[in-house]
Amino acid sequence: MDWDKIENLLEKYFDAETTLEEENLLKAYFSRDDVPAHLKQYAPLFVYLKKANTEQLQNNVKLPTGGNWRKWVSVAAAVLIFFSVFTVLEKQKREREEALAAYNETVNALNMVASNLNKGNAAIYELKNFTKTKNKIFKTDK
Amino acid sequence: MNQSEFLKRVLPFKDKVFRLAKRLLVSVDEAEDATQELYLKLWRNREKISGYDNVEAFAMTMTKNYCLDQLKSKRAGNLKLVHSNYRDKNMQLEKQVELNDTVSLIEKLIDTLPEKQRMIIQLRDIENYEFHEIAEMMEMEQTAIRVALSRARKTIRQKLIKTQQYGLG
Repeated sequence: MDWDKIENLLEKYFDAETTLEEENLLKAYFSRDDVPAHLKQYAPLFVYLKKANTEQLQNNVKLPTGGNWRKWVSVAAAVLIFFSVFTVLEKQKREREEALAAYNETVNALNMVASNLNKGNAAIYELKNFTKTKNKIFKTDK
Repeated sequence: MNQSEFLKRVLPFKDKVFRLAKRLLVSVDEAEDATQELYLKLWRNREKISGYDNVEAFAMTMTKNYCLDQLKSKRAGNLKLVHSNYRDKNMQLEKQVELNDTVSLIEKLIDTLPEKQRMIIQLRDIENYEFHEIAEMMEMEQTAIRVALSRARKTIRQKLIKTQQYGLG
């Protein structure tokens, strides 16, 4: 075991001049049992660094379940549109019926006025005839 | 892109995202929340990212930015980031370790570094990214990264030796 080489690598390591390969070498060496006394102090560091990337996320990541949601939104939208159209058509039908009823009422009323007017005409006609006839029978002036 | 295609592309690096978030936020719960947040963002942008070469780098950059924002707003709210001593969910790493407690000390030592140095140690020494990849994720120049990395490693060495001098190693 060439611990001189290790000491050189260690120097480079603290100067941030080692490659990933060399860093892996350091991690491997310091996991051994036969680390010399004067280098032992570095062992915990490299042992930790080697093991630290085995730590895992415990719970699963949750994503929103997009699939079903979209289908139900389009169903809801279709139902909504149907109801809107239905309501508008019903309202228009009702309005037409009300207009027709109003029209009929108006015609009836006008007819009543007209027939009363005609009754009036007949009365005036009779009154005229009555006056003519009365004048024939009774001489009013001298 | 449907959900299974999407997951195939983004799930491979979920642990790296989580570990980076944990390095920055320290708390496992917050790191899990940050990871969940990131994946929601990736899903919402799935059409955009389907054309990317390197979704992983993009995801790590987004994670970095999200976590740094969290830290900034915490500081503004005067909340202290205390590394709790209670045994949290993530005991598995420490169980794997056969050496003494000094190894688990290293994690805490790294967490005392400034955020930028913490991230660089995480991305280089733990996740084994190349410098050009780290430059892309951290939005920094490679030379600046090497300088910060050297500084971080030397600080760790210094604190490690000091700890062992006190007979804790």
